[in-house]
This record gives sequence, C-alpha cells and structure tokens, in this order.
Amino acid sequence: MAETTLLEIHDLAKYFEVGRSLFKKKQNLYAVDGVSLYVRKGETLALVGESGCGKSTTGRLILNLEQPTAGSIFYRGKDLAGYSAADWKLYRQGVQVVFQDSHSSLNPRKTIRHILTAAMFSSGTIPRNKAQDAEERARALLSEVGLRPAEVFLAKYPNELSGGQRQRIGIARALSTNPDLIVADEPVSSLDVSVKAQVLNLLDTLQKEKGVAFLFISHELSVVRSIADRVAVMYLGKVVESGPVAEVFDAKVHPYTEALISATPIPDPDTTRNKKRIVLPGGVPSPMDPPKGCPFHPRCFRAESKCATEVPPTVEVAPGHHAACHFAEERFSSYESMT
Amino acid sequence: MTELRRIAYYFRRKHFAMFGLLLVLALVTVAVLAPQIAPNNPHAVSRDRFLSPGADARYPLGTDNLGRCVLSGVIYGTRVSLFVGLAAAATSTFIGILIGSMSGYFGGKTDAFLMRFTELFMTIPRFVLALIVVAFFGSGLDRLILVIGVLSWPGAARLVRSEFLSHRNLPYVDSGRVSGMSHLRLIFVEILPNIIPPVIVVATLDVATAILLEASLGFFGLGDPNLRSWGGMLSRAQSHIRTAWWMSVFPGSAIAVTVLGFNLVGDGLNEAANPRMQIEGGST
Amino acid sequence: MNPNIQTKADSTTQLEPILEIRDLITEIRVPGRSLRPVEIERLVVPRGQVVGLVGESGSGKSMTAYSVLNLFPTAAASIHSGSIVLDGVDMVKVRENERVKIRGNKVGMVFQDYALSFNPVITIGKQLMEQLLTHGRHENAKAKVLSVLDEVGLSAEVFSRYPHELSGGMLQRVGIASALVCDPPLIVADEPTTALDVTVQAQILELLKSIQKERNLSILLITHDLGIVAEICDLVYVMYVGQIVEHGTVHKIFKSPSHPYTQGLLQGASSVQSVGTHEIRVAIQGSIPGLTEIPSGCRFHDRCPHTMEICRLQQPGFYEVDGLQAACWLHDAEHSHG
Repeated sequence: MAETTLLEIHDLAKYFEVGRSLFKKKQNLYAVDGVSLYVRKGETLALVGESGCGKSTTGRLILNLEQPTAGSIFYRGKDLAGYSAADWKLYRQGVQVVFQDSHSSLNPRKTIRHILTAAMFSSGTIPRNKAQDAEERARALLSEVGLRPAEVFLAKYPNELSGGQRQRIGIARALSTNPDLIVADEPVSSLDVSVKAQVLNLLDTLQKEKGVAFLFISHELSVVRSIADRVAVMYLGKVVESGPVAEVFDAKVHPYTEALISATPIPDPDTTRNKKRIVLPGGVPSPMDPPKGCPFHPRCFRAESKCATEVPPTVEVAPGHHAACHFAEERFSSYESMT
Repeated sequence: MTELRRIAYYFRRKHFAMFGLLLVLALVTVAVLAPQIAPNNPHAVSRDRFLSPGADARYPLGTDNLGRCVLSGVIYGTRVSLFVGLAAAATSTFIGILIGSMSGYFGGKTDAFLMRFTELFMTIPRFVLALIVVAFFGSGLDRLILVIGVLSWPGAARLVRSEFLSHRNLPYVDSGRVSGMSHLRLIFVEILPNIIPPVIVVATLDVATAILLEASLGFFGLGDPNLRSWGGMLSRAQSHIRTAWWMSVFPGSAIAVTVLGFNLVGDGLNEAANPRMQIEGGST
Repeated sequence: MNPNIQTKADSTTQLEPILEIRDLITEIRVPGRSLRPVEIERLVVPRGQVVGLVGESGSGKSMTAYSVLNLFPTAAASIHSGSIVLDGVDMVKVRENERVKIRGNKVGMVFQDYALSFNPVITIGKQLMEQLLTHGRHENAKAKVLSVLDEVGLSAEVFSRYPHELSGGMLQRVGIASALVCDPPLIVADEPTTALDVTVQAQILELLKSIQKERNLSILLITHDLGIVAEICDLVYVMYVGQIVEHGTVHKIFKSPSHPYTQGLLQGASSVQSVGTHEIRVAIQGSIPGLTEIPSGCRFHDRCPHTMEICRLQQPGFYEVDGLQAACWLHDAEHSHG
C-alpha cells in the first residue's frame, strides 16, 4: 500500500436478502459484487454509474452504515474488521458524509447550531463540556461554507433555508469533525444549475484549502468531469473501468463507459446533434439475476460469444487505468494510435 | 417550531375542533375552580333526598338517594375524570413511546418480538382485565390510573413504531450514525421530536378512552370509594332510574360531553397535522 | 449553425400556431394570500416544432404545462386570466366538458412520474383503450392501441401487462403511447426523462425525435436540462420566477444568449462540462427567490452581474437582439452603457 493511500477496499461485496417469505425461496440482490478501489490523500475519486449499480451501497459500506458480506476496508492502512474503540473514534472523525437530499439530511426539528455542534460532540472532536468552543467552531465553519453572518444562520431551522444553503450546512457538518475523507453521495444532484456550480466550487475550494479527499458518488458525468481526479465506472455491482478522469473519458476503454458518455447530452446544439451516439438496447438487468459472464454483454455493442460465458478479468491498460473487458487492451491501443 | 404553528393555523379554521377545545377548556376550568363553583359539599348528606331539579334553589340539579347535591357531584366528578384521563393517557403514551421507538428504530428481531408482545396486549379484553386487577388490588386513584395506562399503550406504540420506521434510515439519522451518535441519543434527541405531532393526536384520543374506561369501572362500583366520580354516581342512580332520572342524566351527560370534547380536539389535531394539501410558497 | 433548421423555423411561423399563450396569469391560493407562479406575456408553439421551456425549479415551468391543459395537481391553483389558444380553441374560455374532449384529442401529456400516471391494477392495454373510448373512438380501438405501442417500440405483449411488470424506460414509452393514442397534434412533455437513467434517457430522446419527425408533431418540452434542449428543440423559451426572460431559436440562444440569466445558465452548464481541470465557473450567485419574496423591477436584478438603477425600479419589456427576444434593460438604448 502506498504512503499516500488513505482508504482502500478489497473485493468488497454486499448481498441483500430479498423476497423471503413462506412461499418464496430467498433471493440475493447483488448490490455490490467484488469492488476494489482506493482513495489517495487529498484527491477526488468519482464513483459513477446508473441507478442500482451499487455506487451508493459502496459508499454506505465505507461509512459503516451497512456491513459487508465479504471483502475488507482499510483506512490509513488498518483493516476496519480489527478496529478497537479508539480506532472507531478516529474513524468517526476522519470519515464523514454529505448526502444528496438536503431536505431530509438535516433534522427539521433542530437549529443549525444543534446540527453542527451535535456532530462535533458525538464524534468526540470537541468534548461535551466545551460548548463555547463548539459554537465558535460552528461559526467559523459557517463562514467557510459561505453562510454569513454566521450568527444569523446558527439560530435558523433547516426549512428556513434554500436548497443550496442547506447543502452548505451539510458540508459544514461534514467538515466539523476535521475529516480527511468525505463520502459525498450525489451532493449536487438535486440542486439547480446555477446553485450546482456554486456548491461544486465550494467543494473544490475546501479540498484545496484543507486537503480533504472526496469519494464523489454521482450519476452525472458532466459534474464528475470537472471535479474528479480519478473516476471509477460501476455497472451491476462491479467496477468496469477506473483511472485518471481525463484518460477514462477520452479512451473509453470499456464499451459501457463509451455508451454512458455518448448518451449524456451536451448543452451545445451543434456538438450534441453531430456527435456519434450509441443508444444501448433495453435497461439495466435486475441485480437479483445478473447476466452470466460479463454483466454488460446483453447490451454491449462489442460483445462476442465468449462475453456470455467468461467473466472478463480486470486488466491494467496503462498505469493506474484498469478495465474489465475482454477487449480492453485492443480498445486501448486503438485509442493510443488515434492520439 | 413552524410545524406546530402550521398545525395551529389549520386547527383554528376547524369549527368542530375549536368547539371541542372550548369544551375541554371549560371542563378544565370547572375542575380547577370546583370548590368555588360548587354550591354544596359533594359528600354532605342531607335529609332532602330525591329532590328533583328546581325543587329547591340550594340544589339546582336535585339531590340523590342520600340527599347529596347532584350538581356539586358532577362538578367535583370533573376533577376525577380529567385527572384519571390525563394521567392514564400520559402513562400509556409514555409506555407506547418507549416500546414503539425501540421497535421501529432497531427493527429486525427486536421489532418482531416487541410487536408480538404488543399484539398480545391488544387481544386482552381491556375492560375485563381492568375489572380483575381493580378487584384484586383495590381501587385507589393511583391504581386506576396505572391499570388504565398499562392497558392502553398498544395504539401509541404502533403509531410511534411506524413513525420511527420511516425516520430511521433518513439521511439525517445516517449522518448522526456516521458521527458516532449513540442509539439513545438518535432515538430520543434526534428522531423523537419529529414525531410529536401525531403522538399528541393519539394521546388526546387516549384521554377520551381513559375517561370512558374510568367511568365504566366506577359504574361497576370499582371507582375510588372516597371520591365522587361520574361513574360512581351513575352506579348509584341505577336502582332509581325510574323515579329519579336526574341522578343518571347529569353525570351521564357530563361523560358524553367530556369524551366528545377530547375526541373533537383529537380529530381536529389529526386533520390539521395532515392537511391534504400543503402549499409552501416558492414551489411550482 | 444548421441552415435547415433556420429555414424550417422561418417558414412555419407563417402558419397559425398550434398553441399560443397570451397574458397568462396562474394563481395559487394559500392561507392568507394568493401567489402567482406563472405570468407569461406570450408563448407560441408553431406547428411541427419542438419548443423547449427551460427553467430552474421554482421558475413556474411545470405550472405552465398544467395551465395549458387547465388541469392542476392541487385545487388551490387556477388560471386567473389570459388566453391559451390551442388549435383555434381558447382553453380558458371553453367549458370543462369541452376541455375534456380537447385533452387527449388535441393535446397529449407526458409526465415525469410515469410510475404514478398509471393505475396499478389495470393492464396497460385496457388503460390505453379507455382513453380512446372516452373520446368516442370505439372502432378498432385495440388495433389502434397495438399500433401505437409498436410506434413507441414496445411489443404487442405489453398490451396485457400490468404497470409494475415494466421497467422505468418501458413505462415512459407507455406514457408517450398514452399521449399519442388519440393522435393529438401537440404533446406537452414535463421533464419526460428526468427520472430515467442516462442510457435510457438517450433511448427516449431518440424515440421522441423520430416520432416528432414522422407525425410532424408539435412538442412543448419542459425541462431544466440544457443538454436535452440543445439536443431536440427548435425554439427555446427561458423562464425565471414565472416569467419568460428570453426566447428565440435554439442555435441563437446557445451561441449568443442576450439575457444575463440565460448567459449565466449556459456558463454554469458548460463549465461543468470542461474536463478534469477543477475549473468551475460560478456564473450566477444566490438562488431563485420564492414566490413570496419576488424582487421589485426585473425579477433577476439581485442576482444579475449587470444590474443598473432602472432594473430595481421597473420591469423591462422585450427587446430584439440579433434575432432573439430578451426582457432586459441592457438592450434598451436609453439605459445601456453601449
């Protein structure tokens, strides 16, 4: 494990039992199925994919909101499975979260003051008897996320704020424990275009100032492009391609990555109407009954007979750039010859 | 607390609910000021037995078989009914919150066990059990309250459970977990304040049920023998129903009015808390 | 710029438009007052064109869609005044029983929440047949439904399926089929792909494009997604806090927007497009005001980078700028700094 690696997950899996009843056999929903990833200090790793691909569950596993069926999570080189109470305390401070829905991510019955200080107290960042310190810190955090004058916001309830302001509170709460990793689950997806840019900009500035790393979970490629250093594309519980964002978005080694990028409309009539578009057939198969072989083969335009039977290995096509496709090397070299 | 303000807004617009609230407030006033309002000592026996209402200015609603003032009995009975009703409802709501929150928050096996336990309680015929318990342990006011409270919590528990189920995986609770918040703190400090409005509705309706139950126990002679209660007055009126109608009609009406008042308030609160349309400025 | 689309737009504006909204005010009554989510001076959908109505949440774009059908999700909303002429008939003036006939026959609606627009216990086929029957089309109803299902790319087998048996993408296809089944000349589509995954959204957009071409359909497409607008619209109306602030052809709007709000929206959208450089340009500060706190004068003035004295005082009218119509004082000869 490299010096700079902050979080590493190995073959992580989470199966949910569903449909178990008197008359039905129990079935597994393969939400996350063998995911390996790492996040370096101070970088942004984007986890992208469509709904049901397992990106949010991966985030919840890292946050310890779900227990993995298999696999392991290492934070600062230590396996979570062997954590002591003291380790957990550090983890609670070191790993934080920002959720998508700014409505339900803040307790509607609590003031912003309570919301921010409760996180500091519970995580042990500030002892409960130092209420004054906590309030000072809350004030400083509000200023940092652009909510000024801080005193005014401290006394407000979440429903008195706009969506963008609530999301800033969510970010301030995550920062309140001085984390070095923030799992941001669709943090700007419910925001309007104009507000979205403001919040993204804030996240980016905070990263530069504090050196905090982000696991940025999103279905919006356009957002990911601008904010991520590296990207991992998920499909049906598996990572199909990962690597530096510019390279992955350019080379599009995995056919699914290519389809995803080509499907995203670009806000420019000339470009978007003239670009080559791959329209995939059908929808994402049920994670209760994923296809054999490569999970993407039934919708893939590049599929051959072996894709239906053999699970493609994950290969490293370039330093730090991995893809799980039988034709990964072939596709990468054709990209290289083009450039 | 803008939500409570909103509920108050809608509540004020409901005429029946406001009428109910007026009744309840009037009853509370009567209970508090009983010694000032009541024309006679409710326990004082006199030789003027079976006086009909209006026959004697000292006894506006007549007297009973022992010559006690019916009006004063009804007025002092308000104290017993309201006290038992409120205290019993508070007890049942407290138990309901305790069991319902654990059940809904933890889910899984805890939930399955606690809910079976709750259902067991719901299948017990409440009144019969109350009769047995009071017959065995005596019928002091404290025991009445405890019996009624302990037998009435399943409704509140089921409501609290379903509210906790819908809250326990909301992002604000999850982010509390991420910060290492304890279960107790999440349950009682974070989630509980969010479900207070529906709990108040159920508690209000529980007051009405408890008053009815107390009156029924009194009717069977199991009320506190040292207090004049509506149920007890009805019980004594039984054998004189053909000759002295006033002995049963007035305490009976008092029970009906009180139960009606609390039910109207409860229903009104329920509707005000869930208005079919909630429009907030700024949404499309 | 694509010259074909240019000429198409010019030739069709000569025809009588399929939909023309004039001086529309829609109001919502809330305790103690009434709010006005829509105040549109003029909005025109020419025949055979796709018109995009773009705005952020709270702009009133969905309310505009409901106004066109005069069918609101809450009883508190209603049309206050104005006219909505749909294929020669004023939807505001006609009686409700007339309106029922017009809905479906002259205009079909595609919703965002496709899952909620179907009855879960009735088969897809029956629900589509029902629409034909309520409009008095009893002949060959089943054949008609099957042909529409085929048109939206669904197999005949879907006819006897229940809504829960279909995926989101398939259901939205059924949603489009249901809008088309009575062959209306106009479709109002309210965020038709917002709830769908990107790859499925691409399918639905392709489908809408091809159906539009084949049927020479007019579409009023309501969306917040500028990418979708760029993809399929001919004309664009930009909406802000209940009002239209700019309109024109899609190419002109995207190439040289003349209202500061449109400029900001486009910059915000294209900056999130720039690859992996951590360069995020924040074009507009603040957020859209609620209907209870509408600013005086130009509604955008407190977020605008070019605010002048007049903007705070008076609402601007429309000015023609390079073929676009923009409601902004910057284009007034007297007030602009040149």
